[in-house]
Amino acid sequence: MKKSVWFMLLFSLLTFTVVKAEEGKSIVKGYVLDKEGTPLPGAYVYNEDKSSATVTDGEGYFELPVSGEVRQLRADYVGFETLTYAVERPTDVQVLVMVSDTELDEVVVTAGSMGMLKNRTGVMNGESVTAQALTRAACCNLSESFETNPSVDVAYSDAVTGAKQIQLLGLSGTYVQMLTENFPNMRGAAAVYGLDYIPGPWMQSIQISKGAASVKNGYESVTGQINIEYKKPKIADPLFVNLFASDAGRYEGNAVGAVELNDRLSTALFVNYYNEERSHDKNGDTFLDMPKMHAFSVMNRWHYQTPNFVSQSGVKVLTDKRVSGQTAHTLHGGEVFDPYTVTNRTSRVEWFTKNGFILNPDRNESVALIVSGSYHDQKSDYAARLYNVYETNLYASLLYETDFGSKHKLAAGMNFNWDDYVQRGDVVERYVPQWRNIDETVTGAYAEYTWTPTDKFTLMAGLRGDYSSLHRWFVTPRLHLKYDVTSWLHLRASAGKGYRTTFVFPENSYLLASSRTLHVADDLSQESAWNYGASASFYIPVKDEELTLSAEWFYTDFNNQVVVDMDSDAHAVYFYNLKGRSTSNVLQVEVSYPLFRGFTLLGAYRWMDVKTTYGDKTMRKPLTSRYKALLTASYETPLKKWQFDATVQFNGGGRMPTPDAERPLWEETFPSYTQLSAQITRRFRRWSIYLGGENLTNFKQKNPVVSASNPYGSDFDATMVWGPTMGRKLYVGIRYNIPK
Amino acid sequence: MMRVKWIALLTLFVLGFSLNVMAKDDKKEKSEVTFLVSMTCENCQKRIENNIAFEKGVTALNVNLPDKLVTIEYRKDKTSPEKLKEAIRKLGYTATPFHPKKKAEKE
Repeated sequence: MKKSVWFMLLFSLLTFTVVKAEEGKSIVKGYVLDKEGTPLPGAYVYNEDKSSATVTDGEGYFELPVSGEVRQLRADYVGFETLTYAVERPTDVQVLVMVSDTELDEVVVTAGSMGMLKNRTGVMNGESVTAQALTRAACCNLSESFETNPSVDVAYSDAVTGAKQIQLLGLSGTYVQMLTENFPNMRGAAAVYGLDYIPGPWMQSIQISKGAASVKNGYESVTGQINIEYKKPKIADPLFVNLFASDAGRYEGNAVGAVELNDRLSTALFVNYYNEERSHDKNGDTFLDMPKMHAFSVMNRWHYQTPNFVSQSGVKVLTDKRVSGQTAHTLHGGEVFDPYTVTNRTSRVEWFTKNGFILNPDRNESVALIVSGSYHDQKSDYAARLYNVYETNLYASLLYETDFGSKHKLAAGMNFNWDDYVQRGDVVERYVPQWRNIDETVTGAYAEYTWTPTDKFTLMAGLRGDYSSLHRWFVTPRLHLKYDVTSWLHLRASAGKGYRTTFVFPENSYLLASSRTLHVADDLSQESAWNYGASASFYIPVKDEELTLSAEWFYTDFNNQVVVDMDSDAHAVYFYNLKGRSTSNVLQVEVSYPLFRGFTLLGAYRWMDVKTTYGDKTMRKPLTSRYKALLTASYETPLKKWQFDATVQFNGGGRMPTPDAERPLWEETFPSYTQLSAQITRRFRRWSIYLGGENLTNFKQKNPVVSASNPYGSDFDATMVWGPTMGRKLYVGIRYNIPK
Repeated sequence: MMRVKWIALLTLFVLGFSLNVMAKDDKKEKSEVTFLVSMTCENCQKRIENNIAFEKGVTALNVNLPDKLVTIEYRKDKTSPEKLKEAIRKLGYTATPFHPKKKAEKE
């Protein structure tokens, strides 16, 4: 029923689209000046093929009518060098500065070549978090970057290990495809702690796209895609340093340095050091509220560019050590037990190379090859129960893109992905085929077609076929539509299928922080789900300012899911193929308005209904809030010297995994709670200082560890976490940069 | 202890706002100048914002990237359009005084 309604909506959108043949006529406006800023009247301005030309007036002003896309302008003036000017923003006013030919300077031609490799997020439900926005919160790593974002939730997986999970559309982070620099990253075991592995100051921006994503990066995204772009050597500041300290005893240092060696080659070095070794046990349950952590990471990346070739490569190395659990011996039944400690040591290497050739700039024709790989070595010890995983990933993607005229674009390519897990330890020995050595090779090809009949309508249709060494052939169709009804109303719709292979232990290793017994079905199938989405964005002028209102709806329907069942038995976790329904319905409304100059208010409300059949009962997904509301206020003084930010989060209550019927150890539901964070930033020319607080309402989940007094007993469970385990945190940080 | 920190934080907030208000209340004579500037991208905009805001005498700043205009409100006793033009030039951009009337004639 729901499907058919949705398709009707799609078709009505298609048929109502009036295809107007607006030939791409436009006017490029601008000024021609000399280096001192004196206007040059009578300068001759023309486009690349000289099909259009004009002369500047008395104030150096020109208007050049052009048809189609204009990439370059040229200008001639007696006594001056002929100027070649790259048009980066065609609708803007252009300012052409001419150099007199007596001072022969280099003429730098910067053709817009990088643009071709960029993600066409326009048609998708995309959100972007910029480096600017990242400075509005403590933001020491990726996991903390979503605090002011209404779409993404980040929650601790358990009360002991410090593992964090992203939630998008109410579903677990494993259904979000994580990308760095547009290739898949942080897979399997790395997903558990991976959100801590990307330092905030390294990031240029984060792109979040909800619902079905492009087929270019594979078949995996079910609820969406999150892509992280690191700072680019070519545009990054020569030096950026960030130091951070919090009253919880966390110290962090970041440095990013970039050098342009010549006009083709540039490189950047990224360093991060993280130390949080103070013990916290505010609730006195002998368990640390937060693991003690110590991490170091370094990345080096290179950028090489000629007019028709771009190459980027990089290597990242990190080491991370976490110690958590009990700090004291426990007495139980007259016996003394060793402290229940969890240690986790990770070493990880990542590398990538992306190479793009521009074959024909007029048609945006290009070929790109991305190859990336990682090796992840994680050794965990859950109070003498050992679990080690060695994960290797190799990924390759070959991509071809071209335009056919101004209305049709085609992208096609092939992907290859290999995941290999070697697991050792005495935790579990009997879960064939998910135990010891397991690997999967997937090879696939895709084509994606984008049709833009007018600048108001875009259709993007993608189809891919893949062959998995574990699950054989499968097909992934995806469709996106965008229609700008008027300048103040934009509509988007999407539908698509996504697939995923579950690797039970690497992805769920944090469940070992409990006495629950693990039961894995030996016939686990590939997960697959349909995702449908529709959204409307309104841009309403109110008192000279623009009120932005957006409403969206996403529906995910699993054909098969590997259900993580903590409900059937309060002392066990079962992993098995879905035997009923599993759906997620999410509605989100967002309003933002600049109340007065420099002051912006954003409010968002998200309602979630996530249900899965556990055993034979269909229930709400446990430990998932039923709603979330967010209010952020941001004020910047007119000269941007001061900035004030505050965010309030309202998290709705929800259901806990079913407690034991005879001897319940926890409640059946968890309550709603509110969290407040605030930050003040003072900027100076070269540096800035910020001071802020997280969880200022000091809300904590009381006793997050079940049966903390007897961790070796059968009731012990640290995974019943729904809220923050740490209270108020105050922090201070400085940023220093040498600008370009 | 926590309470002390909390109060310190609040005080800073209030202080921040009042400093800003004080700056606005200043009754020294102000003037405004607009430059046409050869900037091309968001990075240039950021750079001009970050630097010109800290020039002596600047009280308000608006950078309009699509129109390539930089409007600066300044205190006459502390700086002049020439000094401000030089400050933009030092950042590597060409600037020329822009008079809104001229633009109006063309449209």
